[in-house]
Amino acid sequence: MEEILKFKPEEVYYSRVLDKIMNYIERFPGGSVILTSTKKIFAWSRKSSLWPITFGLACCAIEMMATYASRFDLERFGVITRASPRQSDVMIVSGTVTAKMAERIKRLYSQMPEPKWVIAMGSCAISGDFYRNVYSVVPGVDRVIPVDVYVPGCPPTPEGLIEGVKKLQKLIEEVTTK
Amino acid sequence: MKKEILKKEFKLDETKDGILIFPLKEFYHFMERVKGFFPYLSFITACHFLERKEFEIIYCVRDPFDSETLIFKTVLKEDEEVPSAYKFYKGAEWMEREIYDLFGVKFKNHPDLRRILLPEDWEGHPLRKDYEINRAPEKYDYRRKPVLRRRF
Repeated sequence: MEEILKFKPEEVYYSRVLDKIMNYIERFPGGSVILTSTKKIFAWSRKSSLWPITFGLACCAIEMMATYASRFDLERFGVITRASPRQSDVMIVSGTVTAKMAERIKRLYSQMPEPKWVIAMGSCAISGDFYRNVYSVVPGVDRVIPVDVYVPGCPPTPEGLIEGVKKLQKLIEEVTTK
Repeated sequence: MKKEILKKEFKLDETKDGILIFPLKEFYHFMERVKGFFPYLSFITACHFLERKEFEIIYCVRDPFDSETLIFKTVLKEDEEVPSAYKFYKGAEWMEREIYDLFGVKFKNHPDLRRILLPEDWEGHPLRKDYEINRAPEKYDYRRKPVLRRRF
């Protein structure tokens, strides 16, 4: 405890941040130089600032909004919604995808810069669920755009979506540091 | 009651549920009278009868000052056109577009008769009884398209 009090508050903060990313860096003893690989630092920064594009399709969007809001607070994981596809790198497809909406989703997805990821939220976005055989419904959003993480549920709870985001973070880390 | 007045004036039939049936010939005259009594249009909907080859167009109007509701309908053959109620109720525009979109009933003198829910180049009218349950135009038939996979 006394050792910590000897540090200035800023130094305590930085040392905590360094502890968090300890897996990614090597510290020179006594020095102020940090060695790491760009892959690792890119993976760390990509996975901890996932910016989803702001849009919801159906009732799953209500649950998604609850996850963004203060009680569950996705912002803890660096997930902040952006209003433009040009600034975002995750798309959370929350709800039933209709044939008319599928073209819009495809366009929004192609407007997003690489690297980009997709979370299919809820059974409608995964497979169409009981609207599967309806003339105007797409049976699963993975027929329109490639999906990385599937979050099952009708609708999934906010905890479920948070776990989906954590899974995506893990996946990004694996893919980027490969 | 306003319903009784209308019923006597036009000598209309009434179903068991108290819904007036008015002939299509007297559409403009009847609608003008109804508009005078009931200034608010609640909804317009339609129903398809495959064996009779007929459509029923159902109107629900309301007087918000007296809290009174009137439901009336008209019957028309599949190839007939029904006059648009847009002249009397401005809110009828989108409801009639929806009926045109899903049933294929055409409205005479409608200002902008296009599809409203389905894509513009959709084929067929899905709420007709003879429409197959999951038939879609080839462009919009995502059931036949393959599932896309990520390479990593």
